[in-house]
Amino acid sequence: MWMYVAFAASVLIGAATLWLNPKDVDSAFGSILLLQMFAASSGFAGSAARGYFDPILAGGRSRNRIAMGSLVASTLPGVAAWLIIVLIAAALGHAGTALTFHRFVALILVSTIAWAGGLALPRMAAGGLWAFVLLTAALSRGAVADYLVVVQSPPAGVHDALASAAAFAICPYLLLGEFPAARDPIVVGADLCVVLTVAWSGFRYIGRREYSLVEPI
Amino acid sequence: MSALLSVNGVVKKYDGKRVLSGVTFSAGKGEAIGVIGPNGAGKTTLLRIVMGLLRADGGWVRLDGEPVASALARVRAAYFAGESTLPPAVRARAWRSLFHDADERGENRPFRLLSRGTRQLMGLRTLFSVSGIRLFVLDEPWEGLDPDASRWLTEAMRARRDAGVTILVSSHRLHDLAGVCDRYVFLDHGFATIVAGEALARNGVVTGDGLLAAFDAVRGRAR
Repeated sequence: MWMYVAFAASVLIGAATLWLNPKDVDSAFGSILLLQMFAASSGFAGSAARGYFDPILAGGRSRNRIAMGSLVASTLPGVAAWLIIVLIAAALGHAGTALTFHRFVALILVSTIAWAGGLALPRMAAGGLWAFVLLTAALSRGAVADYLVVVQSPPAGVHDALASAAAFAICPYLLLGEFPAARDPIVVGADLCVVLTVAWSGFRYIGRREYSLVEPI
Repeated sequence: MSALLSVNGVVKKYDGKRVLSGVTFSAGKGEAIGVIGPNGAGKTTLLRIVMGLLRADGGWVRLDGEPVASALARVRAAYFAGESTLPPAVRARAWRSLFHDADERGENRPFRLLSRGTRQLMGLRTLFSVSGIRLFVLDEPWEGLDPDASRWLTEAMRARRDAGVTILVSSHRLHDLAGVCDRYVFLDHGFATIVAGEALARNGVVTGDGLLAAFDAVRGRAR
């Protein structure tokens, strides 16, 4: 419940920011991405081991449908908050900035990686781990600087493109800026491949898993 | 009687240790099977394999002649593993909506605010109100129920059984099982012994004491 409240607060603050500075759509998106890292990391194995999903898992539905339901339920609040910000930006005459594809790729990267990475972990643990890794990287300035050099110029070749795609996948917040690499179709395509691979691994995890019961904590 | 549920040579291991060693039985339409065994005997594991939630390491389970995973989409089956499997934060009405169309009546507090007995009864009543169920798989369904609710459950199970529904139920409450089941699967150290109710009946009635004596005999602990 409090996650919905956090998203609502984030949208309100984002709306206020856009009202004051309609070009600053990225700060509104940034706070939503941060919340989405935690919200999409909704966990699955722990709840399944307590039998909470028994009616769904034993109800004859395909496991892929169940996985899709989990993905949608986990990511929908963040996606909805994102779309509200897009609408507000459009209403203020900045739809072009808000609707750029690389920004949307940032949202789906965060959503799928946090969801799939969190399936075997407690709720929000994947988001916490990811945030910790990013914070640690930010504090070790050298590594971040290396990444920024990679994404600040258009990729000169496939190697550069893959390096940029990896940087965006590890830190999707970089896609919120106007870095030249974010507009490169090879880079964005590689990141979409990451999304598909991660989502597939999540579907496979739910599909192949065994569901033993543990005593509820 | 054609078998709705066929369990054949089911083996299950956890960390290399056998929990089930070639369990075989079948249940026909309108037949109730009771699963009896001490804690850790593999009752819940067996029931979850039957419902496709666990994979057997050997043997197979068929539902209406088809592997469980695919059959469950066609053969309506209901499974309830007890009130502890109801998500605490979910409201009762939202949970019921998994089984029914929108129902605006009745209890709607989150499960965590309800008593254990109320949760258990609500879970069972919801399953028993679903139409078209051909197989009930119930794990310790009498746990936490008061006498009135226990009597309701026993009568509901008998009514479904008599209407042709197949029931597979595990319980430590032998006197309750004795009032419902036609056959019994005694699980001990992973091995199953199937005993017909008629073989245990005295004056046409199976009692909890009779079941316990039979289980002791199977385990070589005749008193």
